[in-house]
Amino acid sequence: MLIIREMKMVDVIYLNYLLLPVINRFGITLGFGDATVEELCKKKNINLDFFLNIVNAYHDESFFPKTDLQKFSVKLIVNYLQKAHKNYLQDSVPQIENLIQNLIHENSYKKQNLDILKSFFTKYKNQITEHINREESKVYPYAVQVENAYETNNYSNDLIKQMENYSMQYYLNEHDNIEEKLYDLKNIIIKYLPPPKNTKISNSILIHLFNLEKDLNDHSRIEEKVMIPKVIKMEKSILSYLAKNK
Amino acid sequence: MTQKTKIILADKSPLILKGLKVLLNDFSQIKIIKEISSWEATIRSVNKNNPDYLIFNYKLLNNSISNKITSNFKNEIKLISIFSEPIPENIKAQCFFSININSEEEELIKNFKLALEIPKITVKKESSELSKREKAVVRCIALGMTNKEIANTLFISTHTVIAHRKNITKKLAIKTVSGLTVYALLNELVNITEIEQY
Repeated sequence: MLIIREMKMVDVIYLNYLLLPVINRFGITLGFGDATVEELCKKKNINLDFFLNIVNAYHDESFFPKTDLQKFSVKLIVNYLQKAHKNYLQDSVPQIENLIQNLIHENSYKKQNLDILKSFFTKYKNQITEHINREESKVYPYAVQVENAYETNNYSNDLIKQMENYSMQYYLNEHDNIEEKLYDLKNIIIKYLPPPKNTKISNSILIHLFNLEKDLNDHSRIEEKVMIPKVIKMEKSILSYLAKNK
Repeated sequence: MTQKTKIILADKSPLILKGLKVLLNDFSQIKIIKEISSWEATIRSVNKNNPDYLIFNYKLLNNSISNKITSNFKNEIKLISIFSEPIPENIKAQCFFSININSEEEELIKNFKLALEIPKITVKKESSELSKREKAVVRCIALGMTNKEIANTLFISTHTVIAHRKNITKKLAIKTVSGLTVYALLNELVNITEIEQY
């Protein structure tokens, strides 16, 4: 069932409570009474169309109107993606880290296994942090720059050189799969670690892992199928225009 | 999480596609990856996504392309045709299974289960137990060896190493080197003192 503007936000949450962090990223917080999606977006100055597209993309795996999503500005898309990044680094990952600490406090597994678990997750944390930092410091600003240049017809030599040396296409090919370690961690906890002393903590970790993995998958879809193709199109257009007008 | 069977659905009617999806979603071992309504798009999607089965309405084909259907596809695929009017013999012969969608629900489910080779009791056919060879490969991976080094150590080709790795990932549901290293440690295929990073 698709989410539409006339729906009450409370019903959206009842439909799929996993959307809570997603709507938070738009600045919508709990306590919204009977307000509809449309009313809340108007009140908080949110692009209603964009909001609906994003929540539906997260809610329904088969909903992914690439062309519609590409009509939104790169700046708008990047802005949303950055809020998601903040969530991952400040909330999701630390939450799991804390739960693993609890496992250690409770000696829920034998010491060697606890060490292995902690070490594995630390590696994952470093990988995702590095991935996000790279996107925030290089990829996203570049994407926004390209859009600015495309819209104002104003191309600096620096930008042109960057476009020739490091097109978004290259980034797309490199886009490493940060969900793979999460996938492995889930299976290690479910299948291969011996039974924990405190099942509640392990269960809680798994729920967080399942949620984070899904969130990251949807996030990557938006990066790879919406933002990047849009920027590549703009790059091509700029470079061909420049080639014609040399 | 054992690998699910990948299926693409192809029929002109969105209603039929939705109906098929609902019916098939009850089978937990399968995953419907695409629903398509034209033959050209079906060919593209099959070649892009490599499903195990294609469930298609033979009416999507026109006469000129119904002779060697599988020649359109790069990789091996099992064809299941659905029909509501009698299906031409030459198409039926090319399909792994054909199913009359006008049957009763129970019959439909039974036929799809047969067609998709879903056993009545979910008994894991393939062993998820690693073979001796595979365990040796996992140990090598945990020790940080490259494919080439593994090949040299075990006196096999790098192709074989890669094939082993694919099977290992499939059996264990572990994709990364660090994940396999953890598995190796937990199953005593390698000792923690042998690994520098821990």
